[in-house]
Amino acid sequence: MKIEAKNLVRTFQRYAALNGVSVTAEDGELLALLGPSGSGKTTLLRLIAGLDYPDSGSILFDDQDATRLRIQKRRVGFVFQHYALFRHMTVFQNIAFGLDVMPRRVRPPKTRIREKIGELLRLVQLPGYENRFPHQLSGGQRQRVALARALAINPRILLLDEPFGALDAKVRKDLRSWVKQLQQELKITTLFVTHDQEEALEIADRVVVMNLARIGQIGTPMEVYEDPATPFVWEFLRGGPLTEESRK
Amino acid sequence: MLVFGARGWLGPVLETYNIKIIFAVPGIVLATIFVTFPFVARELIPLMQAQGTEEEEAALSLGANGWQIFWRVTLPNVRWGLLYGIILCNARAMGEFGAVSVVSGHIRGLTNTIPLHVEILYNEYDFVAAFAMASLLALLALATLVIKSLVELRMRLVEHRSTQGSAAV
Repeated sequence: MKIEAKNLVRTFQRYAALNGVSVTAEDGELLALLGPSGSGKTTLLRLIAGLDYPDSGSILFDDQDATRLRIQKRRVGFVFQHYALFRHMTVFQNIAFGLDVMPRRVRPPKTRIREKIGELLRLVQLPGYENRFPHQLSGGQRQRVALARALAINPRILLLDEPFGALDAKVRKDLRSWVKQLQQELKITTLFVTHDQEEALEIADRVVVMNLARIGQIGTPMEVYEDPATPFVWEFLRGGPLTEESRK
Repeated sequence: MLVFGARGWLGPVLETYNIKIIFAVPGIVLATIFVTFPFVARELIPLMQAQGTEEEEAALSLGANGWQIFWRVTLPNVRWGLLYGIILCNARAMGEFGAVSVVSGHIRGLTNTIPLHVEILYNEYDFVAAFAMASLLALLALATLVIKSLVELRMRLVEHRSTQGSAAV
């Protein structure tokens, strides 16, 4: 599904978290929202998810206005930074939650739910983990359960908030190429928030570089790296200040 | 008394409908709730603050409505804290004297609580019965203490589990 954000403004008390931000994510695209903390990238993700609403501006899903649509109606898969797994539920119950809370007339039958969870667990490479509790899993495994839980409701878009932030370096590398692969297989429009340049440049189709509640540049990893639009983008992507010498 | 008493704000209304609050069981319950609920709240508020709202937001994004979130996510997460609060509340309610004494009316077998009964017996110079009653209350207090410790232990286990969990990340 295509997502369009137009001129979004969101202010918290007196501090502007988003100051006129417009982004379009094409159908099936993997888009990275990259920026330092406080740049507004998580706020943008939460607005698109429906966890928060903009003060002005609009959000379109496939050219239909979704700005005021309640989160329950948006069918978005959201993976939280710390996964937010239900700690008192097993892996099975966690993944089944989105299906269990459906109104009776649209809810799939129990046997179908069971099948579906089996499929999802195979998809995230955790078959046989149905009866574990979140605290019995490693960080990477929890991350994958959270992904399976988000995918269980057949979301129209997938939103990931710092999906690899809480993992150690080795697991992070493996997991991000795996997520990329999965996203291409499912062909689902995906936005993910990160402050790690390498991560964004490596797996995203296009990168949205954000700074101080605004967008610095949008482009393919190649474009933003080779041809940065502002000194900030240059500095942030290369991790050093822009000097006369480094211009060459 | 000011609100529900015979001459209180709601007194005449209650009388026409023949509803008894003061000097009846509802009065005792009301008075007890008033002095004990802060125990539950004080137990739950910090716990819920510590847990944050991420799980509720996750439930929202999965399509759950407010009611489902409360029953399936929020309540199970605070169940031990809630039980602990209820036990403290219960302990306080058993021994409550002042507020209940004002509204109960001391009708034996109808609107009397143990501490009030001790007072009545004592005032009747029935010391044996009064002390027996007091001992009963003390025993109940001990039983509550045991249950409280069990729940505390259980809570610490749950807490340990979740911190261990996040350490593994």
